[in-house]
Amino acid sequence: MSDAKYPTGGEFLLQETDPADCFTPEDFDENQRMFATTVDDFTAKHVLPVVEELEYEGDTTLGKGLLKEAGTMGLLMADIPEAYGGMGSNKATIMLISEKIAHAGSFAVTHGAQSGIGTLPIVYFGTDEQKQKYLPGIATGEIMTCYALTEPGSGSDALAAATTAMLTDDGKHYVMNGTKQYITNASYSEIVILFAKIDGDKFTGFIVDLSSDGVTIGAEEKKMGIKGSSTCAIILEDVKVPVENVLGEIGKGHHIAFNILNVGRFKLGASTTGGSKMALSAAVPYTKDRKQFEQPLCSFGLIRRKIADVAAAIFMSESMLYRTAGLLDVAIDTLDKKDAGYDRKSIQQVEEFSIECSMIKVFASEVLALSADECLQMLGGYGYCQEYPLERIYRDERINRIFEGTNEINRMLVPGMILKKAMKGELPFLQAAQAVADELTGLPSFEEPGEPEFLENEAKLVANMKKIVLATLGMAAQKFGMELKDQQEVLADIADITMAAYACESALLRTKKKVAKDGEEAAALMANMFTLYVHDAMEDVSTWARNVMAGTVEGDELRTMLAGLRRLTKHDPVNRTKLHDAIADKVIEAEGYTAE
Amino acid sequence: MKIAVCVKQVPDSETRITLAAPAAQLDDSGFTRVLNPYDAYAVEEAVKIKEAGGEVEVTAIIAGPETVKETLKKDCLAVGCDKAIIISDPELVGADEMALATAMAAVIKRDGYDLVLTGIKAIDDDSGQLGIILGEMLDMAHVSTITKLDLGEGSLTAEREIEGGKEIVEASLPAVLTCQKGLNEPRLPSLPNIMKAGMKPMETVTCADLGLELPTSLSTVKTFSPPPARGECKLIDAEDPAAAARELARLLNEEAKVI
Repeated sequence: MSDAKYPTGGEFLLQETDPADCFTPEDFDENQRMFATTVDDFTAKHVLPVVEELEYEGDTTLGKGLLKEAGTMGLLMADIPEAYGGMGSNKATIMLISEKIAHAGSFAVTHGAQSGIGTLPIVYFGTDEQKQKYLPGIATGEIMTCYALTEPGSGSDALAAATTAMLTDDGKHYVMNGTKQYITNASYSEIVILFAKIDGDKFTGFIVDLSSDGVTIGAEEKKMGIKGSSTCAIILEDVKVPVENVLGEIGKGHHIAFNILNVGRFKLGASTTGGSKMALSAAVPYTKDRKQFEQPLCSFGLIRRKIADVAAAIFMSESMLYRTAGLLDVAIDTLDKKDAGYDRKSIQQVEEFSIECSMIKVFASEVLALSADECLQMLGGYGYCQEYPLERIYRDERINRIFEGTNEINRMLVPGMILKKAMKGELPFLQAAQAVADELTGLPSFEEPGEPEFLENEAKLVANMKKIVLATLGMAAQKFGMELKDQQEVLADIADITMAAYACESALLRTKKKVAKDGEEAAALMANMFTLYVHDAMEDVSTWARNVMAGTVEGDELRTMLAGLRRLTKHDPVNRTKLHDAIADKVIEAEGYTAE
Repeated sequence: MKIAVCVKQVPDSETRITLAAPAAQLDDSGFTRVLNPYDAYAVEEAVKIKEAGGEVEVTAIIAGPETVKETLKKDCLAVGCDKAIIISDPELVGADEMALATAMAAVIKRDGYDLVLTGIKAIDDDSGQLGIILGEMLDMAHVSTITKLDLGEGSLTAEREIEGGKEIVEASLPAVLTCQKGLNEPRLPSLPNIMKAGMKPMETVTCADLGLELPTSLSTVKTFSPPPARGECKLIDAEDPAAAARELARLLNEEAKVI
């Protein structure tokens, strides 16, 4: 794959990207912009009028009607190929819809279960017959679907599932037994994509009709947040499933499960980015109206700092999210749509970018945590009360760091996948890591820097972050070898450095693209948000890298590496107050997140 | 049956209005533009007539610059109108209702329509004259403020809002009707229909194309000004109602000088 013309996952670490090749939200076309406002209109017309019942009374039955309504508006069909009644949209469009639907609160989770994880296994792994049978109905909302992987005894370790499927003597059915839990939309779905072990050992995907004898839907879970979404267990007692309902190949259920998680992760990155914007929109107008000491809150430095820090973090999420969407679309566009294996091959293209999918999931969900927390704080006591939406946003946010693979699991995956690609020869990682190691242990350059160009210093920080990823991961791989997978703290620090590098580079590319198109003045807000973030991030990167080094080598070797690291992380501080002020002015004027 | 729906693009009601100094003109650079909500009832009613069966063609007619295309596509063509006509002419910028109706009437006469629907008014200038003038210019029956419509063979029955009740009006076709809230519930476009809308015909005409000379506008907007700042509210803090009343009377007499 390394000689392919399209990019591959993790490649950003090893090469420069031309800003013109980086997809950004500024590149949306007219249809995409109209889709976005239509999703907003859907939320305003159908979801917001029932917010009380959904979010505070926890009426989980409303989701079904809302899904039907969303179906008639085409909000469930973006992922479904045109041949099966869908729109076959590209990933950028799908992410935009996911981002926008986040404003619908709990319903966003309901929507995601139906249109994402409940749909995609059939799109990517179903036979033509299965696609014909289910997808047109799923696209319109006539068929409700959900996804069941987790069990009481197996969460992150999904392959340890205990649900079994035994072939009947006549060879026509599998008889299933087991329990799946935390199944979104289970209470009103007609079908479920469910994983069970054939003969107790071959992990396999199935499409199970929930009206089958022996299926029991458990009681609604009493959750901390997303109270309007239905979450139940599915109990299977001698449930007969026709053999033609096996999804994909027998014993290859993990291909489905892990690939669907990849897509789920980047969609979650989109919805959490939307959630962060919602939090900021819910807080900023309040800070303009509320006066203390005869001044609006938004005139106080510490409130302005919060507004600016949250906006800058959202800018990072948004930039890496749509950059990744663009990468996926470029990769998928290289496939022949007429190829019978097109759908299966497109999920393989997504798999190429599992590093980016994991990074977006972790990064954007943690930006949402920051946004919810800081925005609630801006409202003071009112933020703690249900009269304002931040109390709910704060509770709802929490699940995003847990589902679609916990942030801990995803952190382990980031360096793990980079090394896997390196071993397979898909990424010339080891050579690059060696080059950086040589640079770190070599003599410093005494070149005198001239007057820096616009964002030149910050671009250097980004380049250095990428080098630090190579240095730390290369070092850890060399030191620990196959045992590295057990060094969870080291891996998490490397994952954090990698995410910072990817986020900062994505924001830099987006800003540069804007500068090239509309000039430095038009890109001033983007440049300010990027500058604010990248300097703070370099401090964190420095700490994480020092910890990795200290956890990996010692003595003279450690001292030499740390000296090299100091050269890479060296940067003069910026006037944060000035940046905060410039960013906050724009966000306050827009009454919410803006990059314009 | 051919139905014309006369629509207008207006600033979103949540758009923050700012005045461009010093000419006191509206600064419309940051406006979010949408279909006039009353015109959405007209569009929906036309589409419902079409969906009820028979050979019906619905054409949305709008006057305005290039920016109206987005509104036409998303809020007219994507919800079921068959085609759109844009009257794009610099002379129409800032023109009054008489000039606008003259241009729209010319298009309607050129193509020939059995039914003309429009909103009772546009939410930007709130003038509410277009439908009435069109009825007169086209020599068609005119029913305003309708909240219910039944079409018969060559005729119609409409309910219209009047003070304290409703009036049931029968009229012959062709007719011009202005639509009021309550007539229907406008649908939102679906995503696939937004995509298909891009393929529907959109014609742009100028007044010259129509062989038209617009009447000089009888009114022009000279200046916009924000409403005056409200005075401060004074709360009377008194021990009992009688004392409060005495204080109120004193303030009205001495400070406000109204009694």
